[in-house]
Amino acid sequence: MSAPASDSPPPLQGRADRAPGPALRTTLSREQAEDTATLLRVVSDPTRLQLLSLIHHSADERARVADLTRALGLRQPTVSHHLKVMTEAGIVTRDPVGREVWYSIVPVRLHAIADLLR
Amino acid sequence: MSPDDLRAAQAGVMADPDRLRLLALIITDPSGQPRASDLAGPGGALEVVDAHLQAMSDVGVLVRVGHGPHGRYRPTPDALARFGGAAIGAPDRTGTRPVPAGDHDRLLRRIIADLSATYTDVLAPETVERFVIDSYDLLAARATVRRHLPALTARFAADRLAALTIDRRGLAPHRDVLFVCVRNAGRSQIAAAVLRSVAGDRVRVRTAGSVPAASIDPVVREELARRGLDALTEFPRPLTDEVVRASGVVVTMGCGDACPVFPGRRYVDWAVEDPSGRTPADVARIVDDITERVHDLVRDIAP
Repeated sequence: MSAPASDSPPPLQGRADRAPGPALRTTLSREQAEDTATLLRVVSDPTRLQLLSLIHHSADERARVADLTRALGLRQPTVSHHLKVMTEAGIVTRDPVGREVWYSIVPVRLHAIADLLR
Repeated sequence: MSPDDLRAAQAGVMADPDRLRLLALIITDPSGQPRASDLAGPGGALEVVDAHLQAMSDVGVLVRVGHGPHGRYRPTPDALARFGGAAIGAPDRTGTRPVPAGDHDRLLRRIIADLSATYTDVLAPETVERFVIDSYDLLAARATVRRHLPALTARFAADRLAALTIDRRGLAPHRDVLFVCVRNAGRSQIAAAVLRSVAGDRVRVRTAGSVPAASIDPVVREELARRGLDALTEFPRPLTDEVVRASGVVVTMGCGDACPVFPGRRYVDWAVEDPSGRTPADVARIVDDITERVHDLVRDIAP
């Protein structure tokens, strides 16, 4: 199932016929809801989920590219590419320590990611 | 499909604000399992809603009960855990930032606001708030994983408020069935899953436990999965007065005197073995036993 087209589909109505009050969330700002949707879109990839799972379950919940490459048996450019996309999307953060770069999950995203990895 | 592939597919399907909003509406729906037309509303974009619901069902985020235009949609246990918090946190009616999945206080406030809107002119916002907070506390008391509590609270509180408002009109719909066992982790979940699959669009099915467990018995879950019924279970819930009052038929399975007795309800006690700690073969036999009893019950109440 592919993600929906970016042009706006017709807005949803609500369960107005059965609820006694304004149960609709049609006044919801679409932009705000996009935030979570964007997160899900970026992680809707088995390799990215594996990377996040590895980082999440590593000591101190952080890992280096080399650790991830070894654990998943993937090529280094592949791992780096996925990490770059997830860094740009604000899902993981890179933390240079000396000559090494450690990747960890952005704290505010941690719960949503942990839910998904359940 | 590997677990990671399934998760990725589910995330891809849920990466859409309208689908997150639909999931939140389904979780908090007074019926617990709305039809597409309920969600679309009068004159709403039914085809669009239908397409969303179909896509979500295809990856096991929703499960459909019943057929044709009257089919109803329920969130699967997976969906509640994986996307429930995101769904409740994502939609926002006031234009403020989305609530992160870890912020239980703000998620509860959002649940209270949404359910208060649903019950405008029926229940005071203070009543809704009391039920939501109480529901959270009841679930938190036995939770081993706290992360999913807001989504479970939304589901539990929505069901309790629906039961409360039925009660206030003095009705106990004769087809509403409540299954009660001790832990709400085995027998009552099996019975509910079977009844939902047989008559889920005709009968409202609830479950509760007198001393609820933290999660469903894994052997039971496995056996129900083998029969394609695991998506029709829910999470263990504590027994509360208003759901007993709202149920026309109360089926107890080994919970002794723990179930309060209200006049005008039909009480049935099933002497069914407890599947807890039993072998898969024993559990399969217990599921068979319960399945037969559920079919008899359906012939009786919803022929």
